[in-house]
Amino acid sequence: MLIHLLKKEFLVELRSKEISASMLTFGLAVILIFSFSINVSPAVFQKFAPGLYWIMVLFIADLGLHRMFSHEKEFDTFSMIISAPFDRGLIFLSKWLAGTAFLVIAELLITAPFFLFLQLDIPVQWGRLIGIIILGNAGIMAIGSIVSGLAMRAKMSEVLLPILLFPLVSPNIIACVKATTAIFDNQLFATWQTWFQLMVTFTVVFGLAGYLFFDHITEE
Amino acid sequence: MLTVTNLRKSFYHRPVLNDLNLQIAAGEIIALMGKNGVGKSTLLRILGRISTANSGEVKFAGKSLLKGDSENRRGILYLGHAPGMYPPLSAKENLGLFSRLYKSPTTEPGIEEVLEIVGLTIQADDPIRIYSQGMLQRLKLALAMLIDWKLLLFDEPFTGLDEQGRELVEKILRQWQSTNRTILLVTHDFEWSWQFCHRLVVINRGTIQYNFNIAETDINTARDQFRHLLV
Repeated sequence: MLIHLLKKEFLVELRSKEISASMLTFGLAVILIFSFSINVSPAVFQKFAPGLYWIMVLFIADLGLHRMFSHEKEFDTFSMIISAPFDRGLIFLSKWLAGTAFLVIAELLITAPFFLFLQLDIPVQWGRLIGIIILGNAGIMAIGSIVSGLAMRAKMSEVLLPILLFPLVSPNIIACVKATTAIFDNQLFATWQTWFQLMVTFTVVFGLAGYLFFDHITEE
Repeated sequence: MLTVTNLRKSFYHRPVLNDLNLQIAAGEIIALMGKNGVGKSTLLRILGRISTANSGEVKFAGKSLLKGDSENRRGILYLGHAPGMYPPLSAKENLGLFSRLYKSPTTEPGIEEVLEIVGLTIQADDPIRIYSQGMLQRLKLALAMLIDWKLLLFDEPFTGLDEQGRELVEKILRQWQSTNRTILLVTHDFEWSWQFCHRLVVINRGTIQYNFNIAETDINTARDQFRHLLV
């Protein structure tokens, strides 16, 4: 069943391109603004680039999360989906996994211009950087899918989503920034493994919570 | 087949359903009627497990529907006011997806066959976002023909349909009637319901006011009582 739901997420996105197009356009616009508005040497910029990167990712994710349940809302498709005889937690899992994939795809296209426009050096531990980016995205989308499901039926969901999302996702974003900074500085894993553990814990806890409680979150 | 016991539901502390009791036997076709806002659609949404009830019990085929496992919903198909399908996808894709989600997998020829019956063959590959209200209603009907349901919850089956569409819905409903399928539908058409259904259940003030067994009730008496309630 999860496979059918995942296929549906990708097919709907392939047809509408609403999530990926908005995330990509916004991300590239932010990079352009950063590169023209921050006038410091690349060496100094290297210090606070991880923070800027994750703020950008958070805003991109927020844009994507706004559209996450838009197709289910438009024709009340959500009622048909939750009425079907399968575990509703699978709806959360499909949204989470597909949302993470869309965010990773958008970042694949955004990260290169980020390094290029801001004249950043590619970290030596670039493999670990990719791992941290994927894990960070999974954490953001885990809590984001829960909040998006919660806000879906609210009248002011556009306002409610960031108000709920940003404070809840803060521990994960802080851990992402700390881990990325350590990778930029080529530090040993032992010096930043606490942040890595926090990211793993955050992702697992909110992923499990979403799966277990999505049924209750989405009922009228 | 379905037993509803002391069902209660409130919205913002205003009771909509108040100790509602209803029993539906296999093969029965029941029309749910009443004024706007009395809770007809709410009842259907609770039976479809879309809304939660504040209290009460609903048993479908002997199993608890409100508290039980997701498998307990198997055999129930809810068709609401809205199309309930994905706007960017085509009719074929939507039917394929929902038949799988409702565990009634079907083949491409099977989908094409039902689309032909409901008159959507030409638009079968178009995104349903561009469909008219009547076409979307026909698409819902096509879905109901694909899925292996035991109880159909149909909210206002004639909404948005032209004369031809209405005839089509009536024809398909009659086919289901002849094969003893169980249907609970919300409608405002008294005369049609009297001809087509086995029972006519009228909701008022959150509970069942009248439960007319059509074979045993005089139509004029029932009509008078029903119209008096609408005033």
